[in-house]
Amino acid sequence: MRKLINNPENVVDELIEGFVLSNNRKVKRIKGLNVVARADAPIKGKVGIVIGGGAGHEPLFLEYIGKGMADCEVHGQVFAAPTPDKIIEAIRAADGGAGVILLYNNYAGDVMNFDMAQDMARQEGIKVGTVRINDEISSAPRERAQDRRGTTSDHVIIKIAGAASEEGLDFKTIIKLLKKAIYNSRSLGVSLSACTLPETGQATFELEEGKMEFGMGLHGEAGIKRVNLMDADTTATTILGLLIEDLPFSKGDSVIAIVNGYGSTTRMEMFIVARKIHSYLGQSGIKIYATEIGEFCTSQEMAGISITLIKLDSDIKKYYEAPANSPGYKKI
Amino acid sequence: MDHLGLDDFTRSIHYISNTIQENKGYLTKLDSFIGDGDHGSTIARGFTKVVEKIRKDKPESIAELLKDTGFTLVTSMGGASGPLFGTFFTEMSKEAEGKDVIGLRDFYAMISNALAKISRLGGAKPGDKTMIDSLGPAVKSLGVSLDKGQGIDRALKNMSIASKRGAASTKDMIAKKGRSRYHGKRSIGYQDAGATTIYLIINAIYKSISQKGKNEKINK
Repeated sequence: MRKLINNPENVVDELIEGFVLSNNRKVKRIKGLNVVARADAPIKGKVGIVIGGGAGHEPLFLEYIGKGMADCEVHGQVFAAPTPDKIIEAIRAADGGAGVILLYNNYAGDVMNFDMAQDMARQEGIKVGTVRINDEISSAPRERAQDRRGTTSDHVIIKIAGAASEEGLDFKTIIKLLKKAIYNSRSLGVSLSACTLPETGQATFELEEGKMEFGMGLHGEAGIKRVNLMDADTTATTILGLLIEDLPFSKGDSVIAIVNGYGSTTRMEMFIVARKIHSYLGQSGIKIYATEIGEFCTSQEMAGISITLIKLDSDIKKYYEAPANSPGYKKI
Repeated sequence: MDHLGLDDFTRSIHYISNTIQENKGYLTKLDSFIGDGDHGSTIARGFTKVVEKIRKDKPESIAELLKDTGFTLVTSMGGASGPLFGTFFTEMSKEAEGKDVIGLRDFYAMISNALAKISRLGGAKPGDKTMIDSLGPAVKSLGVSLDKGQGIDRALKNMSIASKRGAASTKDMIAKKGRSRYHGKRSIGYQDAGATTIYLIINAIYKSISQKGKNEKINK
């Protein structure tokens, strides 16, 4: 294992501590837990947005709290969903009286823990609703979309949630908007190497040199196809073909394209992939409204990239363009 | 012995914790084949916290002990296994509410309750290669023992045997739930870590209670 850490048991505590110290004017830690909120939370009369999930995918989710972004974040242990007693603290810290929306990735562990916390909060009289992100197309067929995992579209979906709540949209309208934006989002990635868990020092899977696997999950979930390493253009073409087939894009549609690095992929590689996305979608008559390149949804030091396409309409475009100020996402 | 008291259940929880700590490496190894390899360390962390909690709180009833155990597992483990294993104990606790002693019929009701809630929570069916596959046979075996009028010792022994067989049977199954399901047919040949943990818990309950029986005889 090549990780710059101290006692492996303390990695999450210590990363939260470092994050809060580095952003001390913008964020605060709640009750010494692995729960962080924007400094001015809760904001009276505004719908609260709570995000969270397992650690090890940074910048997800904690770097997405701030003005025009989420109100509060709860961090689990590495690759493990946070627990209900911490999620409820995040809900309380985000509750400004207009309702709280729990926005997280669709994994069994997250669903169970967030649901338990949602029940607890409702018993306290807090209005709470849930929206789950499920953009990863290889994890289940289209007809079982409710079983699909959530991945990189978080980067934009959280942004839209934050912008809509900042503008003062109500609880129900925001939920409806988010469901539409999530339906319009599709992602697929390819892994070139495994990642290791800090606690055990073991790789989550084995991937021999010279191979790549499509649809590999962020926690080593087996993918759909292991093949000999392809070049960047062929890889991008393969992914885009599957994405476009899954969400019926039509000529004239306009999309946000995200190229996400999983942890140890260089920006050089990401730009090479972005180049192909532009030429491929151009030929298909799909317009790219914006391209985002970087590490948004990582899996420790896993090598590889994912591509996300989010189909735009006037609502999604409006909230995508609204200002945002969080450590991990800024827009003027 | 025809009833179990608070002492029996307290000893069981300690016994379970020791068993889990001893098998931490084994469980992690099972999980690493088709999961993400953290099951052993996660459940061991959970039971370390449970023992700390019950030493500190000294629960005064069976229901309180089981509730403390379940809630501590939920709040210390995380992931899907926290709620699932926590539910095993919190649901047993509900059926034990207000009872000072637990007979076989009560115990059957407790563990049936746990099975029903875990099935609902995780959505797994028998044969999906999950903890249900070692818990289901244990519950069924207790039901048979109850019908036959067996004593608690015999019933718990049979329950443990049934659970062990159930855990072993997951080896030939294709995973349909949890992260291992993405391996599809490649999951055949590996015993499920969650089913194994349930067997270890059930066997620890049997061992801790039957050993007390032996000790009593010696003391007498």
